[in-house]
Amino acid sequence: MDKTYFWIVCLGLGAVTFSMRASFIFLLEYIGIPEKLKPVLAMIPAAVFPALIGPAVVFHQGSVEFLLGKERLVVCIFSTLLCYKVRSVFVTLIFGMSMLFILLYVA
Amino acid sequence: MSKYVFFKGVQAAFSLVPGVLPFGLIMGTLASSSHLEFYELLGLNVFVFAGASQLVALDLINHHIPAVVVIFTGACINLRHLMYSASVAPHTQKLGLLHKFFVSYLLTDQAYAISNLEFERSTYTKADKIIYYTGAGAAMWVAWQLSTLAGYIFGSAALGNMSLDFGVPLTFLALVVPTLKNKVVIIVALSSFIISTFSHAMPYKLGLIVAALSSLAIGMVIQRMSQWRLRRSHG
Repeated sequence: MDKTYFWIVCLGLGAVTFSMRASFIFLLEYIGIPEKLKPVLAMIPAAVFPALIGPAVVFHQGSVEFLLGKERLVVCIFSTLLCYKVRSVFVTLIFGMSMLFILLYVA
Repeated sequence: MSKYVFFKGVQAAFSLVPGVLPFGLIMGTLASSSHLEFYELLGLNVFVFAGASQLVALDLINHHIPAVVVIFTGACINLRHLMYSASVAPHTQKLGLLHKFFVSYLLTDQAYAISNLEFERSTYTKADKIIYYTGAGAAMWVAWQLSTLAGYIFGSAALGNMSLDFGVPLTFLALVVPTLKNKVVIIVALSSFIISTFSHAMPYKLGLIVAALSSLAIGMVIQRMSQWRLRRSHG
């Protein structure tokens, strides 16, 4: 791997990420948070995270036959429902991983 | 008093450490299998300090994707930090520059989630809230460094056959579902999910950027349309 290439990515991504984190913290007193921007900001996690989850679970070839190898997708669906109810990262994680293990090793 | 608040923050972070653990292990393992030097992994962990984008970036680097595309993809994944920044900023206005720097640096999904919860309902003073947040943020930083270190050293032995890598999409799921509070956001999430599966085969792995930005655009359009309809019905 080209070292220069790696460090360009590393420092570039680091700078961009830090800028985003620091943006309003440093600039709030100068620009405020435009009203029209607020609903858009709230949409960002919903725009980004499912794009990460999607391919990871839809295309994953698993081993549970009666679910056509898509046990991760199934676990995600149930985990989503649970998360709506409990709103806890910890509980959702435990539930999801447990359900996956059960499907893989017991079913 | 403030030392107590700091450790209360650290304590609050403990409930989220299980989410970081599989993440960090996978990051460390991927770094090891990518033949990254330890100091290169450290570089990512210290300069970027954002798990989701680090995993994707390293994957793209392994596929020799152009640097600009990797940075842009990572930036898209990390767009949510703009939201976190906007949320935390009102509480940081009275702080000095150095303190603002550290608050910014420690702003992760978990630190945001914890502070969001506490900032809304606690009776701490503003100063104490920031100390609480710093405690949580520092704890997350240490947890991240240690779990990636463990993954790097022990490699696939740490993950074994336990399908721990599922912890990564699962953590994302647990982070995004609580934000789905209205119809528009839900449509954005569904669009993102669907588009990303279709755009999966795009070159340079651009599918992620395409899915994220187009679902955001869809959300903005629907938001505008519903505002416009509201204005019309009120005459």
